[in-house]
Order: sequence, then structure tokens, then C-alpha cells
Amino acid sequence: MENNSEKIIVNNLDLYYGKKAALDNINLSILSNKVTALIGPSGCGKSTFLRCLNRMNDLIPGVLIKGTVLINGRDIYESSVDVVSLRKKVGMIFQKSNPFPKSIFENVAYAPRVNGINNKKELFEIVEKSLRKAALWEEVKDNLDKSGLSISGGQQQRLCIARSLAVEPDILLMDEPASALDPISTSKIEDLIFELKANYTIVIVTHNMQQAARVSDKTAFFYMGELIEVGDTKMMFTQPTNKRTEDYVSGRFG
Amino acid sequence: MVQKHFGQELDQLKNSLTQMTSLVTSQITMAAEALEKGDLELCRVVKSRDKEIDAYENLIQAQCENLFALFQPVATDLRYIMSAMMVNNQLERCGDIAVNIVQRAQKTADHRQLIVKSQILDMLRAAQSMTLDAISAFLHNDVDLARKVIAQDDVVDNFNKQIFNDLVERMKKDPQVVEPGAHLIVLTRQIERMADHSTNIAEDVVFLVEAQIVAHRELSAGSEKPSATS
Amino acid sequence: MNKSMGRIVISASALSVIAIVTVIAYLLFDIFWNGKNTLSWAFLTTAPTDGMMQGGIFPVIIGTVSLVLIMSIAGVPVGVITALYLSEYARRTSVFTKMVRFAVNTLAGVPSIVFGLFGLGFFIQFIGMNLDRALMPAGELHWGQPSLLWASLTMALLTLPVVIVAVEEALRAVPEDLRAASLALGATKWQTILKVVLPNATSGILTGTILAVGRGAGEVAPILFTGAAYFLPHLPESLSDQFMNLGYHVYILATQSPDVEATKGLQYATVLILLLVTFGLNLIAVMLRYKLRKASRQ
Repeated sequence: MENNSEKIIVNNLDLYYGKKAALDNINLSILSNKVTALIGPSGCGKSTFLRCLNRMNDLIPGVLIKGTVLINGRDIYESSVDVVSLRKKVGMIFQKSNPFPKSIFENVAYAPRVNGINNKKELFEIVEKSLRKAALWEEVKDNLDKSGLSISGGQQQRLCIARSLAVEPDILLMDEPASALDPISTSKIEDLIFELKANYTIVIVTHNMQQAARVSDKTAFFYMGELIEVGDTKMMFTQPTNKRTEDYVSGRFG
Repeated sequence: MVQKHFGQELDQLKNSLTQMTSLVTSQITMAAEALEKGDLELCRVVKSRDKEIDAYENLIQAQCENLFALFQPVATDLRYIMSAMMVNNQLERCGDIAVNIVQRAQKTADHRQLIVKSQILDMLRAAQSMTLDAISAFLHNDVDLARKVIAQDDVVDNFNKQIFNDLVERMKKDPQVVEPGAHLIVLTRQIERMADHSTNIAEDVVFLVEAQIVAHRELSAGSEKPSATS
Repeated sequence: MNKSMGRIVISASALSVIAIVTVIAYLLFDIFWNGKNTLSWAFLTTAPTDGMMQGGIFPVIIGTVSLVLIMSIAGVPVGVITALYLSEYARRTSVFTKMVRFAVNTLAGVPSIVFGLFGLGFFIQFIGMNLDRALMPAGELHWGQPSLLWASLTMALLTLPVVIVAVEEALRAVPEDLRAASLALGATKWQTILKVVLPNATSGILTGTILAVGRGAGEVAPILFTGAAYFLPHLPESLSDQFMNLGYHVYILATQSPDVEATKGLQYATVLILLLVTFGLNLIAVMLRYKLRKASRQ
């Protein structure tokens, strides 16, 4: 089911921390059911940009954002937009896996409970479905009462993905989701991302260029708060048009 | 366990290679038949289909480049994609040779007696079976078959010398034979090169499976390393 | 700093440590040695008799327990809410936040006798008197006199900074990641606090409460004018009753008794109980805090 519609359209986005510009005039379209990787050296603004897409930057005092971010055709920075329901549509996975110190079941059931679902049977169905989608069900199905912190790092990160999926978002934002994991766990997360894109639009920030190459369809290269180049991942890694992109993907700086 | 995305891309490459090999196989088979029967229609078919092989060569080249750029393959995967690139190249040349064969076949269609007498068809059959075996060895990772192909190269070389001498003798005796004879000598060179390409493919198979470089055996391991340039 | 200087500093530190440990050991031993003969089950479960020359300290214990209980019920919620505000809602740089923080720190430094006077002036004479004027027949005193309620509230004020500081520390120890995770899942700020922040700060809240109770159990000055009784033949039955208290009881036995020498055993045993209660509570608080730190480090 190929669907090349534009899920997220970012126009002239600027972001300031106080007076310091962290993002400068970003224009980027993100296609649905594709994996878009944001790459660039540390401090280039890729994570900051990612956090603009579910308004997590709102939590930081002194941040000023200009420009528009259209998701499903609607500007999420419009004053009438409810941030809480926006975040239900746009899930986020963090760099460090951060399960709640609750059972595996309660971790996944957290968001449904917040949304007022209390029926045990209904919750169980959501939990099973979400854990299956996150390719974790077979590993934890007999230990749903165990603490979410008792499983391995890679499993914890997949638990966090399952927890996000339980809200039934359309978009998943991932902020270096495998940077703290060993290669095998990383590989599992990457496989999962590859599978999830059938049903979700995924934007992933990674400082690992090879990871961007392995998992993404589109790659956007950020440098010093600017979007330098964006294109098909295959093109970005074989014949980038910008010299800085070429230098970065070939490991000559950063 | 191969990563899913990598596995998928690798499968696409294998798929392209399978298509490419079956195209080349059918081109060579048709070329041989065209030469044997002097079938000019078949000659035109072979010529027109060469573009397809060229398109596949480009596709496979791009697929290999992507696999290198996106997945940084190592070990078996690395050798597989390297040998896929090399085999791709050899296959395309075999395709070109099929075209060359039918070109000569068109020009010598009136001298079928000469063709039959000069053992060229036997040589072509030997080379053709080498090519088919090499392709089969590549598709099935069959080292034994590959080694058989490498050993057969001498047979074709011997045919080449014999036919050359035979044709020269015939041309000395009869000036009428000079023109077709010259065409046929060029043709044997082509067939001999097809056998060489098949041998190269077979050597790539040994490299792929056993990680051994068998080409240029006279440079036995370690004895004559090229001096480092820098 | 040369080598001999270093040695001097080390020796001086060692001496100070030995001095402190010796004093504490002597104190504890002295209290235990002199109190142990009086200490008995009956001592803990009977009321004083013979003009407080004989008998036990049962009403004294009950009075103290009631005091710290009501103090906790009144003080801990206020402390937790203040800490929540400071940790979760307040902008760290705003003038109001700075004022609240300054007030909390100042409150912690106010001498406890001042709290006693404040309790007398504010709770008894202002609130209590006005309540009586509104609710009671003319001239009758009910709320406008020292009582368990006013003493507890005064004590709650005294221990408020302890609760606020302990709870705020616990709230800050809840990893930012967890808040972000909850918010990113579409939970509101309040849902995040209720379901993620507070449950993870439970042991901190408990620690704050226990520290406050420990402090409240040992303080005498704030209740001197607000509710502690010299002697009561019965247990406190309502919030408007006066009550007996461990610290105050020691003071009475030591200074107001007709024969101070004769009540020495009673005095020592009462002090021993007081020490056991405050030490015990502090020990539990330390253990809880240790557990909290360990959990937050993982």
C-alpha cells in the first residue's frame, strides 16, 4: 500500500532559544508511510527539529518558534490546537529507554488508562496488540506483571515503542532510539522500524549515519541549524549534491 | 540473522541476477543455434535483445552500489556483492559475444560446409556448456562445478589453436575461403573469450564460497604482493 | 600545606570525633542506666499517680501521639502541595517563586518559642476567640483556650519547612525522562503528576512526614502556650482538650516536682522513651531516603 501523500509539511520554521537561533528557515515535507532520517553533527538542530513536531519544545522556557508545521493539513502551532490530543497522534520514542517503574502491562496500559479506558479485557487487548506490533509479545507474554525495568535495554526500548503504539498514533518520532543499545538490540529496533513504516509515518533522529542508511527512505542533513540537503536515502549516500553532505556522510567531519 | 531491510534489498539483487543469467543463457543458446542453422531471423532476435542485458547490467550495478553505500556489508555478504558485480560484468560481455557470434553468423551464412568441417560448432558447444555451468555454479554456490569449468578452459583453447591452423591451411589452398575463413577466425577468438569470461565467473564463485582468489594462480599467496603505492 | 600541618589537622579531627562520640555515649549510657529500673510495661501503660511522684506515662504518650498525628494530617498535605508547586509548576526565576522559597527558608530558621507565641496570638486569641464569639454563648470559652488542635496546628507550621524540603527533593529525584514520556503519550500535566510523579515520590513524602513527626515529637516550646497540660487525670477526648506531652512532662518532673530527687527514675525513663521515639523515627527516615536514592540512581 504505497501512499506518497505529504503527512507533515514544515514551512519557514525558525526556532530561538532566547536570542540564539537554533533552527533557521527549515522547509521540509515528510511523506506518509516512509521513514525519514534526520542526520547531522551534534548540535545541528536535528533533535530540536524533531521536538517541534509534537511540540515538546513548548516545555522548555524561553523557546520561540516561528513558521508553520502542518500535520494532516493543519498547523499544529495554531492557538486552537490542543497539545494533548496532538501528542496522541504524534508518538515519541526517546534516546534513553524510559519505561515507568510499573509492570510491563501497566506501562503499555498507561496511555489507554489516561484516556479513560478501565475495562480490564479491553486494556488487555490493547496491551497484547501493541506488544505484538512492537515485536515484544512473544518475549514478555508470560511476564506481563514483571517490572518494565527488569527486562533488557533493547526490550525496554521496544516496550517504550509498544507504549506509544497503544495510543494509536499516525506518526512516530524517534530520538536516537538505539544509541544506548548493543548491536543485536539495535538490529531488532531497526527491523521493527522497517516493519512499522507500513502503518506509520516515522521520523528518526540518528547520529549513526549507517543506521540512517539502513532504515530510512528519505534522509535530511542538518548542519548548524539549517537543513542542508534532503533526498532519497540512496541518493544521499551515493551521490549527494551538496559538498557538506558528502563530507559528512563520508565521515570527513562531524 | 540478516536484517529485514538488507535481506529485502539483497533478494532484489539476487532476483536481478537470476533474470540476467537467464537472459544471457538464452542469448547464447539462440546465437549458437543461429550459427549452426544459418538462421538469419534468429540472428536479428539476438541482436535486438542485447539492450535488455545492458539494462540489467546497469540495474545490478546500481543495486550493488546501494548495498555497499547503505549497508556496509562484511564477510559473506561483502564477497557476495563483490562477486555479483564481477559476474554482472562478465555476463554482460557474454551477451555482447552472443551478438558478435550472430554478426559473424550472418556474414558466413552461405558457407555452412566450412563451418561444419572446421569444428567451430564443437568449440562453441564446449564454450557454451562452460558458460552454462559457470552460471549454474554461481546460482547454486557450487564450487565443484566451478572448478570443472576452470579445468575445461584448456579444451576450448586447444580447439582454438586447432581451428586456427585448420582454417589457415584451407585458406592457403583455396582463395575463395579467405573471406569466410577470416570471419570464422574472428569468431573463434570470440568463442574463446566467452570461455574466458566463463572461467572468470567460475573463479568468482570460488572466491565467493571459499574466500580464495584463484585467478592468476601463478602469483602464489604472499610471494608477489604488489608494492604499496603511497 | 606541609606534612606536619597535615598531621595536626588529622589529629585535631580525630580528637573532635572522639570527644563527640564520648559525650553521646556517656549521655546515652547515663540515661539508660538511671532509667532502666523504672522502665516497665506498667510504666508505659499507666497514668502518673501520687502527684506525679509514682505511676507511668500512658497519657503522656497518648498526648504526644495525638499531637504528631493531627500535626501530620494538617501539615503534610500543605507541605506536599507547596513542594509540588515549587517543583512542577513554578518558574524557577519568577519573583513569586523566590518569595515562597525565601519564606520557607525563613520559617525553618525561626526559633520554636516564637512559633509558640504565634500560635497563642493567632490561633487561640484571634481565631479561637472569634470562633467562640460566633458559636458559643456569651462569655463561654471553648476554642479560645489552649487545646490539642491549636498545638497541633502550631507544630504543623513549625515542621512545614521540613516536609517541603524533603518532598521537593523527592519530586526532583523523579527522572525528567518519565515526565517527558508521559507528556509525549498525550497525558496532561496533572495526569502526569498524579500517575507518574507522585507515585515515584512516595517514599520521599513518607521521609518528609517522618522527619516532621520526629521533630514535632521532640519540640516543647511551640506547645507551651498552645495546648500542653501540666497534669490531666484523663486522656484527651476531643480537639479542644488539652493534652500531656513527653518533652513537657520531663520539664515538669525535673523542675516542678515537690521532690526532684525522688522522681529521678521517672525522669530518666521518660527521656529514654522520648529519645527512642525520635531516634527511631529518624532512623526510618534515613532508611527510606537511602532506598529512594538507590531507586532514583537506577
